[in-house]
Amino acid sequence: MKNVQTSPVSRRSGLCLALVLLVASSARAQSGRQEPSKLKQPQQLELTGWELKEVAFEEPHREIQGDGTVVLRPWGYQLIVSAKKFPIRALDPVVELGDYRLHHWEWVDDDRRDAIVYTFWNTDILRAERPFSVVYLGDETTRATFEEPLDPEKLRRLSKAQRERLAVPDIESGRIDSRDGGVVRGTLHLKESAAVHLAIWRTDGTWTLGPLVRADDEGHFEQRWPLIEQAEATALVRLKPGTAAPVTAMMTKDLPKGAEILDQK
Amino acid sequence: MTSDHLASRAAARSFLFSFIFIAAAPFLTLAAVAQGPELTLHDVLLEPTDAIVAGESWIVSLDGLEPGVAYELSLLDGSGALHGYLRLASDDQGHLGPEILWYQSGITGSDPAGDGLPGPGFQDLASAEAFLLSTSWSLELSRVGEDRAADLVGRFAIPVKPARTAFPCDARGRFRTSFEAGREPIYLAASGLPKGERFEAWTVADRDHWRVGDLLEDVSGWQGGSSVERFTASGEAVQIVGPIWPAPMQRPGRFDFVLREVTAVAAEPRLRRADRPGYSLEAAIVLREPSAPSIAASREIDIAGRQLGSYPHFEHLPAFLRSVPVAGAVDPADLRSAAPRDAAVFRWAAFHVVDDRSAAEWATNQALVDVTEVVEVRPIKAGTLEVTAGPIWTSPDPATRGPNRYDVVVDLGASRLGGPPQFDDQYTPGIDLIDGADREGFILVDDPSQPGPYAVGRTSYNFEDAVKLQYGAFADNNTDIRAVVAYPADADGEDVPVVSNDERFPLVVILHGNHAICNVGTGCSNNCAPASRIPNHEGYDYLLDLWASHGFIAVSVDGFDVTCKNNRYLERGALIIEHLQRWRKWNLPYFIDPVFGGRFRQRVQIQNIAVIGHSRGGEGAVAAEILNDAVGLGWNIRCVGAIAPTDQNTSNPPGGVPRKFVLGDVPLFNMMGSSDGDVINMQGARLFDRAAPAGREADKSQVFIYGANHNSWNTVWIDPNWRFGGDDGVGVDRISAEQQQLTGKVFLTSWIKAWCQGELEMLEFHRNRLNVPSLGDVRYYWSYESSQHVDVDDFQNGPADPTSNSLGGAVTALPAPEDFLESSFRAGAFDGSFFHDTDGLIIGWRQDTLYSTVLPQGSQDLSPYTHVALRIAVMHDNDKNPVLAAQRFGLNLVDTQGRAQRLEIDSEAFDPVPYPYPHPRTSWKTMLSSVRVPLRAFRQNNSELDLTQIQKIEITLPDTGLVAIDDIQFTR
Repeated sequence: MKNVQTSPVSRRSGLCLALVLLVASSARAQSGRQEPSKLKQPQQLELTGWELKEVAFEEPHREIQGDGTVVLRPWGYQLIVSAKKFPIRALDPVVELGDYRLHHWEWVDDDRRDAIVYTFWNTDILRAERPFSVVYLGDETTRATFEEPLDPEKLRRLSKAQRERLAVPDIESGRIDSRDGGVVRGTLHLKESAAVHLAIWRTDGTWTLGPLVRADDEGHFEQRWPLIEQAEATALVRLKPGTAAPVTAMMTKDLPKGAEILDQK
Repeated sequence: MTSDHLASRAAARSFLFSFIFIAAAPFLTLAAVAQGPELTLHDVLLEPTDAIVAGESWIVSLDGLEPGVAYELSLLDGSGALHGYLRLASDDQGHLGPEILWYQSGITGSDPAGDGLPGPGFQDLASAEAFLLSTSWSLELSRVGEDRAADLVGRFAIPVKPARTAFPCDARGRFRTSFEAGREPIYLAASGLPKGERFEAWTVADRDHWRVGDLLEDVSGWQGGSSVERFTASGEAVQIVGPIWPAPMQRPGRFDFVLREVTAVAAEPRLRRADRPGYSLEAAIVLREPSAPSIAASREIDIAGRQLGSYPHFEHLPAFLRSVPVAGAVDPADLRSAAPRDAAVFRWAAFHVVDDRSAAEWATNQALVDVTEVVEVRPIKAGTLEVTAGPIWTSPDPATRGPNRYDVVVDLGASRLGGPPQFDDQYTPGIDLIDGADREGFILVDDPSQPGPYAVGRTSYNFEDAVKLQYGAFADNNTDIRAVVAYPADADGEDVPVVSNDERFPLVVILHGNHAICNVGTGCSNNCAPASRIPNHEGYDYLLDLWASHGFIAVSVDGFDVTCKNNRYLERGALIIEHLQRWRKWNLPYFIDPVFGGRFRQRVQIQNIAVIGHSRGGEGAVAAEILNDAVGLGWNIRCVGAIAPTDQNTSNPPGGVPRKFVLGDVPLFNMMGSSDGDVINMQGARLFDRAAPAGREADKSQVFIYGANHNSWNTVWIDPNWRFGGDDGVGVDRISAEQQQLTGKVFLTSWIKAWCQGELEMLEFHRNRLNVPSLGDVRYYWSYESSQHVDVDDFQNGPADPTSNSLGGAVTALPAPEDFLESSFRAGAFDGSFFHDTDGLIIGWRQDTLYSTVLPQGSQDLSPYTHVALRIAVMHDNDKNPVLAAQRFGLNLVDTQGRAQRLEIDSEAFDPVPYPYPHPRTSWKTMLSSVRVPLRAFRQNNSELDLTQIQKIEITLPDTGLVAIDDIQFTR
């Protein structure tokens, strides 16, 4: 393999494309063959908000598995995304949370084209640090990204009774509310025995893992760690069971394999 | 025309010639007749010239003729004796030629083939020149008809100038046209060369058209290598040069020679303007196989075809379109070289196109009844069976609807010296040449966008909230079953009876895509009042009417309840199947049909179905067959069509088949527009790439139409009377909605006629061999893969390694290219311009580069195949590729003996490789398209290539460039 060219269209190529389009457009205008576009071309979506909730379905949702078996889901999670308008297109509007995509959407109401509800079951995708955008898949001109991340702590949960009846497990989440004076405050919900540490990221590109974070019964935590004053960013890092964690306060280029960022600020 | 008639006319003509000359009617000058026929004389480069060079072939063309009229061209000397003759029809522009009127100015030598059979013409250049320059020459142009005087159009005086020419000869300087390979050395007799000047004589493979810049590759050396003969002009009237090709070095084939003056600076081995190729439309030297019988064993050959713009200049074809000219050519390779006995006896070739006959019919009836404007007559070069390739049916327009089947017969004729051609107008087995002795020679098809033979009945049906869809993640309840229908009828009208015969008709079902469904509010309300519903399914009425007229029951499904919603690709497939189930009932003999009153009872070929869809409906059409196959529903879906389809399914189909639909054994046709402003990422290309994977057998076709948008294939979607629609297209070189719908008519109709009506010749549209003139300058590019193929390299297997192919053979590219890697062609890969679902080769070069891929033993016999094919795309790279310029490349095969076609096949002669389309929202669109080259092109002109022992494929990449390549195949 030689000279693998991996870069996208270069700036020079882009200029060339523009030139070609200009020349071609000019030629087209002269030929008179071009029909005027009557349809407004798709543009970047104008997002207006989002809402995250746990839902119990009136009839269990039937999910057909790859092997043909059917899983009935009596409850799930719904992300309702609002925009000024979602055009009707052949392409699907999808939510992207980092590398994860939510495809399964419905109009909130047939008579509204300003809100879409995405239904999903996998709470692993809910990580506050992931870029949260909506795009008609395949048409990048439509992509719009929420400035505010999808914070799992904003999940509107079912009532405790409903959750118990449906056996809804807790969503694993963590949020940093503040980091003033060497003290980090936030909330933390864990569904299994996993270790969550504070971590800092420095401008030299290194991570330093900090102390274990423990929350009270309400899920609140308040953790002191003087090093955070030197940090570019502070993170809540979840170490999956079995992850070989480095010694805390050691600087490394990368987080250990198996580490996930729950939130960062 | 009968031979008796021809003979009697010839007798009359000899008197008439004298009369005309005595009458001293004013001669037309070559180009001075305003509004009238205009004669052009051509030199050997086919450039216009003011006079014929004595000794060279007389090549003529005519303009300003009446279009589509049969003419005779008679070359007469001062005494009125006939020397050259052509009978041809003008084309629709009133043009004719260039054609050879008289080979070599009538020089045949005493023994043109060297087999003891005499030549009837001038013995040498000197005797020819003396006569040629001392007499006046005229070309008489007349319409073919009964009244000779009335048919005379005009006469042209033809100037002749002294010889400055060269021709092949034997060691004694005797003129020759053909030799038995390996038997005797070949010399050159040159005249008119300035004394003392240095020259080179290059012996090269034959080209029908020489152009400045063409590669010169001498083949007269050891094992076909170069051995250019150099000599100094002696100043003699005729100088014998050589041998230019010693006997041991010879091999069969057709060859030219080029005389080149030696200059101080070594010249490139490419034809210069100052160089002098000896011949163009004819070969200078024909070398016969040593063992060739004097009369070839088989006279069944390919004749019908089309002329090409570059080498190999001709392609034999099985099908033609009404009104598009059919050409004919005789390839000596089919006859195991020229046949001397023929060459001595037969001087003329008459091209007959006759109604197709079976072998048994030919055995009992050999009479030739030509169906064209005229039986074309062309001269045969002495000592060979060389005949100029050219039109044999200029404006085919038979009275009967297509497909019409024909055979082509070349009736070999003789004549007395100076007399007219004479033919027996019979097919004589073993003597005359035939294309189609036991099958048709060619098929003439009608433009599939034109209405077929049936009147069109129209109806519709509507069952509100009728079903719960059986498949898909949503399994929607209360789904409407609604459609409009067109069907063959006795008379056009609503709810008229089906045509009154007992025919049954295939069923074609089309489904629209995602769009607003309600003309009020937000456009997506399923509670929309019927009067406000947008009739998305009526946007294909133009297709339904056309298909019904061609003998289909055509159904357009309203996908109201699966539209304006998420996903539902399996649901769309399930909806199509729901409709099929109703048609099955309506076709049953015993079903009490309250809807149509039994109108369609026993009138539907319910196991002969095509499903088509547009946009999400295209994916739905694919889903219908996915469900049919996965669940074993038993529908015989013969083909699938997808118009600008999506490829977005995220639901698990039943049966555990992949979410990404992979169409298996059913042919898929995918049609996409480069200017699509909705599915801008060309998702249909992914459906095409995945279809018919290894182990499954189906043809697949794809067309990429520059300037076509997403919506215009549905007339409702661009109708301003309905909201939410319009022209979504972007980019340059847009085509009109009418043109876009015409692509749908031609390409979809040809597809379903091929697979549901057995008219497989319609697939020639999809192989880029048939094109309707009404599409004009619309640019579209095909990918076609036959189920019958072997992958030499699909670039899929194993780790990415450009140095070995799928058969395990070695791959080289020399000199080492700048870019040479196997890469994904999926969205985002490499330079981000791809939209495929496949891997392939990226190769970028800065000097002439030879790419070779080796066929290991066991994979070298190409007998099962007819073509070599590959998919290729130019990539945008303003450093290596001139922007917006198409790419061309040379193609050759090499057998285990090291033999190859002597001239590379020019890809551009067969299929274009366009520059990517500049899409304003996705940058460039790099889309692979097929180049299919018939294997017989590599055997043309007796190249000796052994197609049962092919060792490697060679691709010559000229100058600089950057291309993507995939699916190098041998195929049918």
